[in-house]
Amino acid sequence: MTAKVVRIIMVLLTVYIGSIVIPDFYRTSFKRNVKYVTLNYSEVTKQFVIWGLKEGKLLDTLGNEYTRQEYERMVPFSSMAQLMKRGEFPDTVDGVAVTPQLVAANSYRHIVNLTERGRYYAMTPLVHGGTDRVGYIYTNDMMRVNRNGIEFYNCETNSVDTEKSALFDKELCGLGYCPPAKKLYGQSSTGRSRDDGLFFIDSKDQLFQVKYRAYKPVCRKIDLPDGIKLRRVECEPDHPEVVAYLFGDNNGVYVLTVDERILKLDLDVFDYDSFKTFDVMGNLFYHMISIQKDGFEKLYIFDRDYKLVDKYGIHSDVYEKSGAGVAEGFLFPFVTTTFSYVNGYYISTEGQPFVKFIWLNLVLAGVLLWMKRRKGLDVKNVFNVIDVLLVAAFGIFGFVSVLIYPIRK
Amino acid sequence: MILHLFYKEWLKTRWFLFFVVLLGLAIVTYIFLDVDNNVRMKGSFNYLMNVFYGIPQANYYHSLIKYVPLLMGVCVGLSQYVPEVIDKRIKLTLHLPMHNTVTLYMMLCFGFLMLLASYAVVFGTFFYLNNLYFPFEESWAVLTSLMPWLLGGVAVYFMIAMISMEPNLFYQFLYGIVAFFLVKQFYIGMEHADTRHIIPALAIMAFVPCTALLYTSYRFIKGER
Repeated sequence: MTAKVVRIIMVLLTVYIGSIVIPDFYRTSFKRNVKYVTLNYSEVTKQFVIWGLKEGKLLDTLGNEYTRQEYERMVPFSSMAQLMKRGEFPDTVDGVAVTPQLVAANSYRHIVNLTERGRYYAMTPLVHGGTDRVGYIYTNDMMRVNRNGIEFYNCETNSVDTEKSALFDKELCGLGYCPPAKKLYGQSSTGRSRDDGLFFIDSKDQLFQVKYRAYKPVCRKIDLPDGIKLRRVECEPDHPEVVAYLFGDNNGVYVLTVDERILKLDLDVFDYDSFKTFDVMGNLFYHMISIQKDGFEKLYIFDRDYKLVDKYGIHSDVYEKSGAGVAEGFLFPFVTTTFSYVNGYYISTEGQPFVKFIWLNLVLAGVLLWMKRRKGLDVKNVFNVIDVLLVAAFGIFGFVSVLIYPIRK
Repeated sequence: MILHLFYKEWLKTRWFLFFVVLLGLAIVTYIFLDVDNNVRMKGSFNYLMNVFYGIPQANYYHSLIKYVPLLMGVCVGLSQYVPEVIDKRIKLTLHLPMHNTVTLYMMLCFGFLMLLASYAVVFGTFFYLNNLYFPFEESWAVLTSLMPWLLGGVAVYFMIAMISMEPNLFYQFLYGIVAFFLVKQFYIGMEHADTRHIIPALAIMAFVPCTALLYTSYRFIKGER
């Protein structure tokens, strides 16, 4: 009896392993590249331009076709190098005089990988500015906010710099911080023209910014709009106007500007959990934000003051709609995938539509029943019935697992 | 009786344990010689910056230890079960005046404790030295990366115990395939990953096979071929 119960447990474990391995073999054998579609926005025609809908041609949203050379003339800022090589870079764009230097100074890009799950260290350096040295310097210590409050850990002596820590603690206590920090954010480093210090969310979900200037702490509490709690702070150290992008638990995205304003971006379909990439680009005229997930991209165009100008979403081909993907829906009741994104790892189990796979499951359950009868097993025995039910529920995974672990008469 | 059983298991496993622990300690020593050299050359702060944000060689300074838990699980499992099953001495063990389930679980328990003891020696040394060179936060982050590897060693030990007791070679092969794909999940590119969210799932995957010995030993006792 015990051995048979253990067998069921092992069958269930093997079902789980099978749901990782068998679909992986299937996809390696049959999954092929699908056609991806990408979007851009023309500063000249004020139309979205679509790559990938037609072989060797670009289309705009009105259905006009363009060659690559025409496309490059339509997006002079992102094709500047190519236009300069051909001597076609314009003197004016949309009536505004432009130079390559001006375009380069106003162009930026920041890609936020929303699925990144890298290691988190809970401590990071805070650079010191306003000293007698040019720019910013490291102080050989790392900042952390633990149960004791804010601390500066000196790496050379392996001890906490109590004097400096007390200085910052006093300043932050005056602002009402409540340690420990849930998470630290920021890229405080030397070699940049501007340092925004570090950000942390305390145990009461308040956001604080900490900087170190001329031997004194410069701290401020940032009041969050709409009563949100933050899921992530993505710092933007190289942008002249933006300090950070704030991702709220209401799926809202906010821009924290250098003049301490918080602007909400009008991203109507953004969902932090389902989208994979948040891609921010900018040029002399616009800020452009592209949000992407498998089979879908939406591009938002904002003016320089983050007012929405235009938006356009487009669906690409997805594996699930391809022949192999459709067949997969009939073969497997669910698929478990192990992801290994940038230094991260996670397991995700996704089910298939019940109406698809149930037919194969029932056929396999019938086959198992026939095999058991042929072997002379008592098909009314409770453990044989459980086997058949497992195959009916888990389909091909259950069938393989049940056969791996033989049952005694 | 149980202590005698433990002594019998100790006689089988002690040299394998000794050498695998020695190997683990040698790897830990090598890792921290390298860390010490880097700290002297670059300074503590700069080296810590390299570990946090730098090149992969610095990020992954502990990656050499990745397969040590796996090796420990394999060594303890093979030394404990394979000679006894091949020489059919397991039949004598199963005729001891104890319930078979208790006997087998005492064996499994001994092997698991030995595995934990060897983990404690090697990884205890690793974290002791790690705390000498790095702050607690770094050690904690490294521990979250190491946990899947430690659990992988446990899983492989339980799977070896299960496979060894299986009397049929063909089913041993099939269980071997299951064990391979099970253990593989613990070692997928995670040198530098935050694994806290998947540790519960991996722990379940590691400890569920501890029951499997009952299934194959039952087949062994019943004389399946």
